[in-house]
Order: sequence, then structure tokens, then C-alpha cells
Amino acid sequence: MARSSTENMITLMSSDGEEFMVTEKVARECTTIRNMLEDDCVITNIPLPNVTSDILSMVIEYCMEHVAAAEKAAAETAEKGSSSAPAAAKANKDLEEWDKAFMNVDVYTLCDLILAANYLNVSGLLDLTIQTAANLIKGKSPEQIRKTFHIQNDLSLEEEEKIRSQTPWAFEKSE
Amino acid sequence: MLDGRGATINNPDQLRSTLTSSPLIFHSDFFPSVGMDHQHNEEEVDRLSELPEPLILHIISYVPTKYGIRTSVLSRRFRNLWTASSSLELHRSHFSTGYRFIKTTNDCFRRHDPSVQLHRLCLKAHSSVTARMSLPFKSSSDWISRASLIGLCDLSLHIHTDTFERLFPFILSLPSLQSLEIHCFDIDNIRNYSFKPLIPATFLLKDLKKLHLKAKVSCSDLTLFMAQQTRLEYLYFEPVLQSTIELSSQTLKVLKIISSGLEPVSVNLSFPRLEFLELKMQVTILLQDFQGEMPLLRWVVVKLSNAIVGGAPAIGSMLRSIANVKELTFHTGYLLPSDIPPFHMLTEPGKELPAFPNLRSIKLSTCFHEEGIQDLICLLQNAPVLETVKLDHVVTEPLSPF
Repeated sequence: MARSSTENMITLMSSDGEEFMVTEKVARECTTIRNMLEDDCVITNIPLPNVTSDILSMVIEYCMEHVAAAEKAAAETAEKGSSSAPAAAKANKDLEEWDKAFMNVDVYTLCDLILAANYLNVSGLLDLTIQTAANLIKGKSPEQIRKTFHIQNDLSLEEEEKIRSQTPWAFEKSE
Repeated sequence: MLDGRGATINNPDQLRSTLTSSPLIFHSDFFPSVGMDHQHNEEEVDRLSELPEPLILHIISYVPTKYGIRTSVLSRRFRNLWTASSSLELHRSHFSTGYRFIKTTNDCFRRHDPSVQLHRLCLKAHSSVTARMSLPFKSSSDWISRASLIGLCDLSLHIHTDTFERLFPFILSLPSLQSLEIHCFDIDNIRNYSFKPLIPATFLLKDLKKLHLKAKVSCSDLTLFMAQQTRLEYLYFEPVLQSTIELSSQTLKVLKIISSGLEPVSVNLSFPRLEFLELKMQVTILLQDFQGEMPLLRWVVVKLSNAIVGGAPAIGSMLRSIANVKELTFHTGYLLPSDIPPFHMLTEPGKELPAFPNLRSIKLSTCFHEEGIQDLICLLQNAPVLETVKLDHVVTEPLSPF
């Protein structure tokens, strides 16, 4: 990518009509937008009718933070004359901490972020949000999971019993 | 992405048609609008069930199968969804008997949707009750081969050493694996090991990116194995009772070694592409000698459990091997015995500390008696671009491991 292209600004418009100006580099963190830019490089205004402004601003915040961290790492790598990319598993504690704090949201926002990360195809954010949702299921009883996510049980007692009886071990309290 | 066992990887066609290529502008009603439109009755909204099925499956693939199955009874939406998960993770500790564990794992394989790629298989055979009961070779190799027929990439086994030794040649015949974790949990109880070669001259497993080994594998075997890997970037290794840790690889970028034992240890590391090194030496290990060829090293974490008189030469040669480091965390260890007179832990008598031309950040935990302060001053003088220094003064071990 040419250096000058990082300066291009893109306007992202949320479903409720709010506009967000971001650098092209930040916008490209969303694979969906990157594909659009590659198909049509003069595009500067992108409506995102599936994402509300609250959620879009969070996605942009995530992308900006991760672009900044990657730029910092790349600059340091270049400075040392190393040709290889920074180690993927390098314990970037700061970014990890930031991600953790970023995931301190209610389950509605979490599910909205999952949808938005998937729709915009931000793989890092999708992984983070899916993992956070998984952690809310792990170790819980079905009743607790329903309560956490406000799930209405529409199974009849007989149906539920039938499902439980297929794999009774999964409902035992062994941990 | 190694751990990205999810919808994007597993069901590319399904996902692509559902999501990526869905026109952004014209089909906005295809998806419910993402956001907080339902603020008036948020308390009641079940946003999880509204997610498209591939995303719910993605979440289920991130939990052990037991909890994946539990989602079956949440509501109709979730009924039997787990059978299409891209991951199976079964724990022996969830069952009262080994027989039930095997029977149920068989059952999970039988019920798993065969048209869905099984990206990940994780078996944890550890049980607090009957620790000696091993996972039968036939069952475990059968599960792994069934999984490999439907796209297994990520295999994680927490097993006994004897199961590992029988399974390993078989695992080496699986070309599709990208990530392998072998965790032998009975290793700490085994003494007087003899190492017989485990790596045959030819094997098919060559595309591994990530390897995690807590197992009875000799360093020479492991080096031989790594020499055949073209993409290996990450190695976690807990060697067992080896007095020489001699390893090399042309591709590795991240190396973590956790070593414990009673014998003095010599370390010799040759990794031309290594960027991150973590070295933890526990209990009464004395680092006797350290050789290293790691020119690209940037981040180093070294934790020694005990500082011993006479350890300075090895620490000195270690510091020379990692002198290119940018960020260093170094715990020199607790004094042993705690009442010995102070000594130089970082500098050898008559020898200079190496220069650290790139060192920007250091976290040093050591005993800052007068000799320790002198060592620190030498270090600061030799680090011209140092920006942050964090010091922890340690004298005696807070909690004895014995």
C-alpha cells in the first residue's frame, strides 16, 4: 500500500444517519469495506444500514486502537532492520488489557458487536466478542444461560426432557 | 488465524453467501438492524437467539462440548445445534467412570453432523479420581482419525505419557494438523526417564504452525521434528529431566521453555528468526551454561527461581546472547540459602556486562544489596536508549515450594 493512501479519509454512515470520518487504514480493518474499496477505489462515502451509530462508534474505536498498535509494532520492527512481522503471539499485554476492558459491555451490546464484527468482517473483533459470549456460557446451567441472555424457553416440558435424556451426562453437575 | 475455529473458516460458503457479499445497501432488512433500537424493553430482548445460526455455532465451538450440549435445551432455536459445531472438547473429569467418558465421546462423534468440518478436537483425559487409568489407544486413535477425515486442524490432548507414546507415531501421520498440543499430566511424577527416539526419519506432519509440548520428548528429537516443519512459528516446551536443553529451528518466532528439576541445566538455543523468548526455570535448578544464537530477539522474559553463588557466568553469557533485546523482564531468583552473604548476580568478577543497544524497557527483580546496585548501575550505563525501568527488590522467597 502506498504511504499516501493511508491519509485518505472515508466517511462511514450508520443506519441512523450519523457520519464517521475515519482514515482509509482504519476503514480497511473491516474486510467488507476493504473489498468495497478494492472494487471501487474512488468511493469515499459508505452507508452501513445494518449498524447503528452506538455500535459503529465502538467498532471504529476497536479498529483505531488495533491499527495504532500494529503501526507501533511495525515501526519498531523496521527500526531494528528485521524483515519479519512482529511475532503473532508476542504477549502484547497492553492491547490485551485494552480488549478486556473494551469487552466490559452488557449482553445486548455484545450480541450487536458480534453481528457488526461479522457483517463488517473484522476478524479480531469477531474472535474477541465470540470468546466473550462463550465465556458467559461456560460453566453455567441451562437456567443460568437463559437468565444471562434473557432467552425464553419455548420447549414443552416433554421436549426438554427428551433432549436431556439423550445426553444426561451434559446436565450433571460434575464440576 | 490459528485459534479462529469459527464460522468464517468452517463454513466459508455458507457465511460468504449470508454475509460478506450481501449487498450493503439494498438488503438492509435482511438483517435486523444492529444497535440499540429496542431501548424501551431491553430487559426482555434475547439478542443471542437473533444471531444468525453460523454465529451461534461459532460461540458454541468455543465452549467445551458439555456446555455446547447444554444449549440444546435453552429453546427450540438451540435444539441440537451443537451437532454442527466445528469443535469437540471432552473432559474425562465430567464423567464418573472412564467407560462413560469413552462411550459418550463415541456418542458425540456419532451425533456430530458429518457434513460439518471438525476444526478442533480436544480430549482431556485427566481425572482427579482414577488418575492411573489411561485413555485406550484404540478409542483415541479412532477418534483422531475420524476427526482427521472431516478436516481436523487443531488437536489438543491431555493424556498420560504411555498413551502419548503410543499415539505419537499416529499423530505424525496426520498432514492436515496446524496446531498440536500434547500435555502429559503425569510427567511430574515420573523419575528416571530414559529417552528413546520418538521421531521417525519420515513422517507426514509438516505444516504445523503451533506446537505445545509437555511431554517426554528429548531435545534432539524435537529439533529433528522442527527441522522438517516449514511453517512452525510457536513452540511451548516443558522438557523433562534433561540436563541439556539444546534446540534449534529456522522458522520459529516464539519460544517458551518451562524447566523444572534438580539437576544443573545447560541451555543452547539457535533460532535465527526468533523474536520472543520466555524462559522459566523452577525449583532448585542452577543455570550452568547458556549459549544462544537469536539475532532478531526483541522480547525476553526470564524467570529463575533461585539465585545461587556461581550462577553469574551463565547469566552473563545469557545476557550476551540476548543483548539485542528491546524489552526485558528478568527475575534473578530468590537467594538460596537466604542467609548467604551478598554477591554479584549479574556480573562475573573481572568481566563487563554486554552493551544493550536496543533496550528500551526493563523489569528487574533481584536483591538490591550493594552488589545488586552495582550490577544495576553497570546495566544502566550499557543501555543508551533505555526508557522505562521497573525494579523489584526480592530477598527471600515468600512461599517455599517445599
